[in-house]
Amino acid sequence: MKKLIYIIFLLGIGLESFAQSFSSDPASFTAEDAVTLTFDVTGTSLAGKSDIYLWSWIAEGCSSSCDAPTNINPASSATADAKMTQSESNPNVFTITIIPVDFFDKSPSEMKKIGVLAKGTDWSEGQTADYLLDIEPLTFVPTVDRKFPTKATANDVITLYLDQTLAENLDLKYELADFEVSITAFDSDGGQVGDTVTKDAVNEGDGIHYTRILPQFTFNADNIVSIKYRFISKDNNEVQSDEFSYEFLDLK
Amino acid sequence: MKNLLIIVIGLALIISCTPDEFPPLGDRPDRVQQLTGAWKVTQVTQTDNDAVRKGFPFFAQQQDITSAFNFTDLEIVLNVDNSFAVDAGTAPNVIGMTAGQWETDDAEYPSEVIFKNGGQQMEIGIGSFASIGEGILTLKVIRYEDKGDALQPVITYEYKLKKQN
Repeated sequence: MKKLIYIIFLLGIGLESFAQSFSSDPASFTAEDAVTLTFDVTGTSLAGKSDIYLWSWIAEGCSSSCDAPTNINPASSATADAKMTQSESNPNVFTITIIPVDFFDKSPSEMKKIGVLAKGTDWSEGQTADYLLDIEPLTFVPTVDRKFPTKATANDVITLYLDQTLAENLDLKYELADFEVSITAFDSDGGQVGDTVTKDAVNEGDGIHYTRILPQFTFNADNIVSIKYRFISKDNNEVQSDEFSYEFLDLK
Repeated sequence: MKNLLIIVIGLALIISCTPDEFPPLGDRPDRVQQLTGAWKVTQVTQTDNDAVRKGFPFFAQQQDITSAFNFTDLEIVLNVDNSFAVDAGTAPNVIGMTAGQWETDDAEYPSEVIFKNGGQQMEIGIGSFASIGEGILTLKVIRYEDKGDALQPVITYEYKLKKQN
């Protein structure tokens, strides 16, 4: 019985050490969020060292080149981005803040789980255990005024959607008639470009309506930087959406 | 009798293992010559590369916009003398020029068609030669966002064209 209690006690210490030796803040994050990783190397072979580096890899979701670009041993100027910051209050605690998409130079769809550990300048100086972190998926959130694509120039085809089911205005939400879309273009001074254009919206069903424009072609102008638009019921022009807008980018 | 059988089987195996003769590979296709001709758009798809990177649902990643602006009106003629002509009909002229000179970035392994007229120039990527034997060509136009240290694709247009002659 005494031996059993002793074993349980030792296991408890072990578990307590694991719990204190690594953490991520926030605990849940997406590939585009900044996350701070904290390693406590007390009691490990890295204790007392001041140059500690992050070694990381994509553990799930990646098909090739799944190591972080900074995974180079021994550490050098090429691994500067992976060097961790030593805590002033506890020299055995090290932190690093990364944004996974930037750190791994991978897209969010290629990162479902990452593995991390802390190491010295060279493997011979020691390393911590591996820690695996789930990456939360970026969630597609439907909106009442979805645009496709989400970024465009005034010389691109853009599809403007109305999702009635998400409208807060109940008249709009339950309108049964089809819609037309009233669109106004603006230049960089906020001045209107050409006349307001009205286009019929396609009723896709399930409360989804859309129209497509290619601003420079639709308005026959090359100085458009933004548009404002609203969906209007063809049966009752008092049933309208809010005014939506789309700012164009300078893409190459 | 048993020995005779072994000999017959052995001979049969030797004869059947004679290597086949492979037909000659033929000359490397002249890709630039394959590009010449009159091409008419049959399909246009638009991809939101950001949505693809984020793993969003397919309907948020890609759309067929062929019928949006009568893109099937658009015809591009690439002549042997390296002149070109574009007849957009009622469609937007995605080349931005109606005539001029055309060339490729590489004569043997072209990956881009370059359209020029005076100071104007437009490069369009060649998406695929896979079906060129059937008179189908895919061209690609990609829009990039300048992220400071790199250009990131934001929108990709794929134009499928059918040879007219």
